[in-house]
Amino acid sequence: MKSNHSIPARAAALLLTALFVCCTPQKAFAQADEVLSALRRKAEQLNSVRADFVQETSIPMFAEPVRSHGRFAFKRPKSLRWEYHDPMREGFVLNGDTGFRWENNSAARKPFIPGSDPVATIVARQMIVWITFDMQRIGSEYSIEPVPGKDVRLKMTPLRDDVKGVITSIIITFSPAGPASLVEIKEAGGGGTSIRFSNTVVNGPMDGQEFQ
Amino acid sequence: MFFFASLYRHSRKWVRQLSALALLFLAACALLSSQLTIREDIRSLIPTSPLGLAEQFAVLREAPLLQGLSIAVGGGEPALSAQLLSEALRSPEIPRVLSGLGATFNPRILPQLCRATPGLLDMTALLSSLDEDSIRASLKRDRDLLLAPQGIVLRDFLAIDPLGICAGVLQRLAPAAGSLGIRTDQGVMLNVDGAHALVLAEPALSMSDSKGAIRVMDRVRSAVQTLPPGTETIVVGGHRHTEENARVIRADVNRILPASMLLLALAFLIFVRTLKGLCIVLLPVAALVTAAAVTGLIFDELSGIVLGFGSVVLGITADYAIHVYFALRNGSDPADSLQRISGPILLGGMTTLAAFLVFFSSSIPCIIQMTVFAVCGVLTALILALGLLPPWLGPGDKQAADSCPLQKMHLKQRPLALLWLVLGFCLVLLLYKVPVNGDIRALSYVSQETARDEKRMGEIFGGLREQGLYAVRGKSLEEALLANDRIWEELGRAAPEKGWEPARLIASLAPLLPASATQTIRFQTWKNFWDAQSDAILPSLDTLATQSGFSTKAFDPFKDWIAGKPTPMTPDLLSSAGLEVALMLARPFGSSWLVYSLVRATEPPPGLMQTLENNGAIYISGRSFRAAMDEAIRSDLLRFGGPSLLAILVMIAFAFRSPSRMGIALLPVACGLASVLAAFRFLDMEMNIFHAMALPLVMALSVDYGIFILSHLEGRLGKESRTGVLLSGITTLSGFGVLLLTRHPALHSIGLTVSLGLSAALVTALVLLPHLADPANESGHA
Repeated sequence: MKSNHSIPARAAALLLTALFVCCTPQKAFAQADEVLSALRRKAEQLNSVRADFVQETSIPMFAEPVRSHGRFAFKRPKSLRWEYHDPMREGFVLNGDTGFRWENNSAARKPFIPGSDPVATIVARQMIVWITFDMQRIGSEYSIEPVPGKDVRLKMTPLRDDVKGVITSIIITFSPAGPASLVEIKEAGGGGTSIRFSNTVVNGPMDGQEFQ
Repeated sequence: MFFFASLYRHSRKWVRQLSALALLFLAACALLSSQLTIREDIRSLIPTSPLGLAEQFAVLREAPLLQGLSIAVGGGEPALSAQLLSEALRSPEIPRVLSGLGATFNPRILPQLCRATPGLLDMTALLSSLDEDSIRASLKRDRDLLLAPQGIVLRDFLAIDPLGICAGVLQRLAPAAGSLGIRTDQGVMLNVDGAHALVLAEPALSMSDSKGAIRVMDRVRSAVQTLPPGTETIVVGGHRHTEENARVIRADVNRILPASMLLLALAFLIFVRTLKGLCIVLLPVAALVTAAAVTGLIFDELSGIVLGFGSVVLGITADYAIHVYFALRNGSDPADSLQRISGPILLGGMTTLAAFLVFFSSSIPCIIQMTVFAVCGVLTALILALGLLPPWLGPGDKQAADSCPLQKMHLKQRPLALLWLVLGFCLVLLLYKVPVNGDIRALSYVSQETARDEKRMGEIFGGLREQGLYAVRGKSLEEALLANDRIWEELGRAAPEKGWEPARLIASLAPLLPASATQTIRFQTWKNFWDAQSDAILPSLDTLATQSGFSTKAFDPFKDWIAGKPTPMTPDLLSSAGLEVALMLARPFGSSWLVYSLVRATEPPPGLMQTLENNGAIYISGRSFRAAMDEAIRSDLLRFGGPSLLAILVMIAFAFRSPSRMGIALLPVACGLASVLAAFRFLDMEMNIFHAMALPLVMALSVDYGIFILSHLEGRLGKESRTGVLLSGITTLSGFGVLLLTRHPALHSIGLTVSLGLSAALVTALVLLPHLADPANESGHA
């Protein structure tokens, strides 16, 4: 059966995948299968995660690369907060099937439901799928291979034509002692987006208010 | 009736040859009957007139969500189950399955849709608001979106639409399914609380094809088996009804014909027990086979209900053989006996035929078929009973009182008049406001499970299948779409003044797929605007875009778009955008097209009906359809009852030429009718079209008992004619009575009504009528 996960879902979710894949010694990832097994194991142990991020968007539509800052938090089973602090203040919170979003530097909340914002809702849902690392789905849509080098890096190449039309490849870099530190998305239209994570806390204390 | 006596005298020499000919004819009929094509769908039960009702049903039958199967999937993960079910359903039997945006949704379609938006609405107001402030705000929003997670798929779209011109229009497209009372999530159509997904299946096989419906439903059941344990599945749709009715009618026919034959044989064993008496069993079978063959020759396909009606034909036609048998058995001269019996038999046959002939005025195809079937059966039985049977039976072995001269009989006038006065009063009271049920569902079998599932589906998806809809017709899709656009435009102008918004209450194709002609006009408006304004707006856009950090070529696709020819919105483009579900609103209808709009209200909103009427559109809802059916049934009640009664009165008046004798002959009719109507009134039952159809039958068959008993009382018939009346009553009642064993409402309704009426009529004829004649005269004949 074909999956109908949209492209933004896969792309954005990959960013988060990096966050919970942590702490595994480099030599243990000699083979791709081992890497993926380790990722899956780590994902199973994941109850919550939070991190700050710096995103650099370098695309032909922008005259200069644009850097944005933000943070995200996730808590099982289906709570996700993703927000930007700079240069704009906007983001969303998803709690199961409902949620809210804010945008345009406004504190006003709007419902975050499929009817009002279908693409963004799909993205958010898929982020959760990736955090929980549904290998069956991810593996069916991307070929995954380790990138030779000093750091632990995985290169994911889309298999489907419609995804290829948007994303050329995604490279995730893992820090030796922590979660993924960098996600680089190379876009089919030229340019790309990189997201560098910091201050990552896995299974740490999580304030439920973040998702309210 | 010298004709039959004379016929007997001539034909008795050719008994063997005539019997052989008859057997050959019956064998040919049997062969033809075996080739009959039987249909069990409800279509044959829907009146073909008045035109409005027939048209309503035809339009309703093809309506979106009604034409195919709607399947609700709940429990576990509805979205996943819906996808699994869709995959499992796709097959030669069900080639088209919709569960939402589906796997074909591709974000790259967004720019293509954007290019088509100038045709979707008149953009005059939208474009006129493109001032510098709005451009600046739009660019800010574009930048934020490009940085957000979803921005990665919106790059091309935002490059074409930096000013948010088509974004507003496209917002109408994304929730198109939502306007149908459903929302899409993860590419799947869900109900409001998201607990159930909706899968729409459009089988290749028509729901009027009962064998096809069984195959389709088998496919659905096997697909449902593939779902994870704990998944709730609710299937509703015409194919389920057809399959259910097909199975029930087949089971009914398999049950009632043998039961009817068994009862006939039992009556034979109890009352007759002679070799020649077998004619009582054989003649109705011959009539049945002939009727089936002739009806099959006239109609390409027969309703299964007609076959079920066979038991009735068996019961009625046995009467003629019974009366001839008893008359000839008790007389030494068959010609004389035949002369005496043929009058009452012909009169009885004519009243029965008159009742049936009235049904030709019915607008219900199934009733027409039943009428042809019954008329053929009755005519065959009359011909065989009066033509072939006498020479075959030959002279009887008893000396009976048939040779007694006719006597003038004294009837008890006062009790008879009083009885008629009371009965007449009761009938008027009972006929006043007969409770009528015009619900189409009352005409076909609906199991408890199906009724429960339909109710549940209504609860889950807000009565999606129960609300109103309207349809416009055109010789081509373009013509129908154009009419649909006109209505939408008029509603857009008039409805807000009346306090409602079309977009909130009506799911229409007009905002998604306007007619080409409509789009062409809007393209011109679009072109005119940019021809006049691009020199002012584009430099402003360039300046502000640079200030917002965009590259100089960022919005070149936008400039190309406004300079070029807009893309027309087409069914293919809508479909490739994953909005195939909206295309269900346009359907081919014979050589023309229908474009539907769903009205999410149980009552038509103010002004809607007027607008629809002005534009030749047809509005249908469950309520309006039921009201029209009510009216059709009431009309049929009058159409059946009036002429039927009149024909019977004329024939009885012609035959008996005396009010007292007519009063006697018609008393079983009045009692039969009164008992039926009283039962309906006091048992709180409602009359459907088949109950209505049964009333003339009650009249026509009841009068036979009056005719024979009166003939017996007057000495025209021998003493065993009362046994004949009893036996014919029993066989007729058994024919109708077995219909009470059926589960199909049509057959059950006829069986119930006629059984009730005939029971009362038979008791009246056998018990009451002899007491209304002078006992001295009657004893003289006994």
